[in-house]
Amino acid sequence: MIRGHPNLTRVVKSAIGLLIVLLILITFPGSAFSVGDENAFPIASIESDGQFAQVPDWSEITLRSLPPVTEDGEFNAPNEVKQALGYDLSRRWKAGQTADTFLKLGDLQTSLYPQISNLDKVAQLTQLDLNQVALSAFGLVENQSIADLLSAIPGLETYRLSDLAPIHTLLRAIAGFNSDANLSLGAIVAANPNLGELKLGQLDKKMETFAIADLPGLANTPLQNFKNWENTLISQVPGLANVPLAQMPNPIQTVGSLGVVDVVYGTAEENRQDAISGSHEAGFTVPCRENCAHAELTGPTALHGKQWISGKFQQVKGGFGVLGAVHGGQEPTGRHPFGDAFKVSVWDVDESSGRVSTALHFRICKRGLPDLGCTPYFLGPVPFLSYHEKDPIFVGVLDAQGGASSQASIPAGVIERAMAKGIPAQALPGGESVGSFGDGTLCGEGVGSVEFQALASAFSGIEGNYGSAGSFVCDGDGNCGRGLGRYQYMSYRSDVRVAVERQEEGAAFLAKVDSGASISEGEISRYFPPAVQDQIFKADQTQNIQQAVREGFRGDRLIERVGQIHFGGPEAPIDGGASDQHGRLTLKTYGEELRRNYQAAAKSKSGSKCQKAKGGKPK
Amino acid sequence: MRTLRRFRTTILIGLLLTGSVIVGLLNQGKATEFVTWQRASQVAPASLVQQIQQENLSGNSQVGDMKVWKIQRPQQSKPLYLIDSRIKGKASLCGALGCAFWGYVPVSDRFQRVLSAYFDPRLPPKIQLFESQNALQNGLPILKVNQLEKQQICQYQYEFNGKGYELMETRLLPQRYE
Repeated sequence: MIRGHPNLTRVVKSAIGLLIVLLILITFPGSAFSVGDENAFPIASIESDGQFAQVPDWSEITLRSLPPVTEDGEFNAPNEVKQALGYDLSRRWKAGQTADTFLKLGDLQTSLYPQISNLDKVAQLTQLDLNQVALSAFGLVENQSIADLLSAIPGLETYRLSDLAPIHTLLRAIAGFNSDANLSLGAIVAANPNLGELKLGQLDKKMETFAIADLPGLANTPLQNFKNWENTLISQVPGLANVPLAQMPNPIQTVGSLGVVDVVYGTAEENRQDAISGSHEAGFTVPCRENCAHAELTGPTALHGKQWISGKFQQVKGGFGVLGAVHGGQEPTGRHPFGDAFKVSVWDVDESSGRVSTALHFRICKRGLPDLGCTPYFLGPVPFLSYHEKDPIFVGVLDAQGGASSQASIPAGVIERAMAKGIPAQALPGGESVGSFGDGTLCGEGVGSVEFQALASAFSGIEGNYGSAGSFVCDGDGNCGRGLGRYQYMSYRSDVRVAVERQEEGAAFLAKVDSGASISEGEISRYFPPAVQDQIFKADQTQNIQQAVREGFRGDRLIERVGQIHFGGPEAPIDGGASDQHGRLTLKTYGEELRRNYQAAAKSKSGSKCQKAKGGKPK
Repeated sequence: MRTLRRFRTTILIGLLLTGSVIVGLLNQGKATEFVTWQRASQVAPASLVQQIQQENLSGNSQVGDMKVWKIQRPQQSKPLYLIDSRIKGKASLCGALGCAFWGYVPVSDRFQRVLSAYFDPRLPPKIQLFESQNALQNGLPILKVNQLEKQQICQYQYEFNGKGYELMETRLLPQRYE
């Protein structure tokens, strides 16, 4: 009928299309502004107590892919700070910049821990070919002197000058130093100490002609080995801006509670007393007197009727240390459902449409030596998720840290390495117990409310003797040693070695173990005390639990998956069918067995050490 | 005289043949080649690498970087590819059970997984994880796997049953390793 009238055809088609859109909007009012639509955030679904919610998919989100900041801002470091540091901590950012272009490694050093990574790991995660990346793209090396590089890169001194093309060029073309290129760099600098002062940056444009891979060892050196690593922009570490935040050394996770945005209120509200927002410094129940725009929540009892006040209208005390005074010592009120890397604030609220947006703010930090603390979270706002009334909203763990305790556990060895670099224990998540290595028991719950005592009992074959030593073995991959203690942790594990070396004469004990000589129960108990063994077990299992939670497991299935990871490794396929050497049990059945043992152990915990120690109801 | 010479020659040939048979019988079942692992990307067909990735891995591990032992015995019509999932410096498929190992054989245009098991590679020095036999069972070599149980080596013998490798025998060796 309308075939012969193209214009009419277009009009009719447009009208039909418009009708369909209107119908959808009327039928599904929330869909126009569903979570994340505006910013096209990668979204993952999570389930909690039968309730589903959409949350950011941190395995897809990077510092570069986050939406750009919407306002200009700046921070001018005082002169005394510049002098103390030897570099300028100042920052200036313009609306439209992404976080990787104004955040530095030091700002995230106690949250995401990028500094313990290296270019090789980053390249693996981001499919980057370091043979194709110019040396000049790695901003950190520009200011490294040859002496700094010798100190940072293990074994660099043994390389012949001819194998170190950028340094060879620096010595020959820039410093006019002509030496036998077959000599090692260590020998050359030892004979000519002034050459150690030359900086790679002096290559100027020539740096562009070399690839990162042209400097052996550079790519697998931890970033924190380099001088002034803290002052490097994320964007100046090739690939780092594209690493998913769930794959950072201390990954962002989604662990905690779900609420529901019940009603959205505007700035006319006053005297709200039941807040779940605030700051680390002011606590996370900061009431609001006036201009109390907020989202009132419902959901679990602990969240019912709570108010998440808008940080656009309420500022609270923030920051600490010397830097705590920046920005008037104030930051937007909010929470930390995804840890301390950034703060999440309710931002714009629209009563008429029942819509509320959220925004992120970052901070500037200088920890370590000297420890200047952190500024308030004021680098923002970076637009985040938006919600409608009745949408589920993720609020993180309901703790005294605004949800940040979900990040309490960090990868094994991170604390030791960070402390070795001068980051104070109290600056580290869970750092209070770092020095003493815990209380020597397995009491307490980890992420996902998993009870460590029950979990340890549930793993068959690990109950028993804290003083036992395994046979001297080699793994065919260059590592030789013995299983030590209750969990038979191998003596060549880096975290075990760090822990043993902390004990007086621990290094000598390790040398004895490495030699294959017999060791006694008494020696193991002395150099690898039960409390230390339990601490490593907790750290190990916390990592496994965190992975299982990230994969979406909860409740009984969480324990099963933790078992699969424990028995089969972190990349063990979910419910995998690979068998043990007896060919009887598979990874899946090992997980199921663990879950049954765990349930039994948890049920019978009334007589456990944890219960007796507390003298009260089991946790 | 000629008869005697013929008799001696016959005896000599007989002895040589008997000796050969005895040596052959003695050798049967013993490993005749060193266990040689090579990078998967060098020795495994690309389609196998891809199939292993799809069937066994959920993470970022690259099969091409894993190690493969291609076993091809004289009487064996198709090779057995044994894959060690460990990558130098990365043991993401290793846990309390040991590390993941897989076996594949070519079948028409694909590969059939005939082994999927965890073995613990931590062994006393000089003890090899795998020992391969010349003897075949249903067309594929018999595999012996050494595992440390408490302080002794337990030797597990796996044989191909037509579909997959199956544990047929275990033997506890007397020597103790402190």
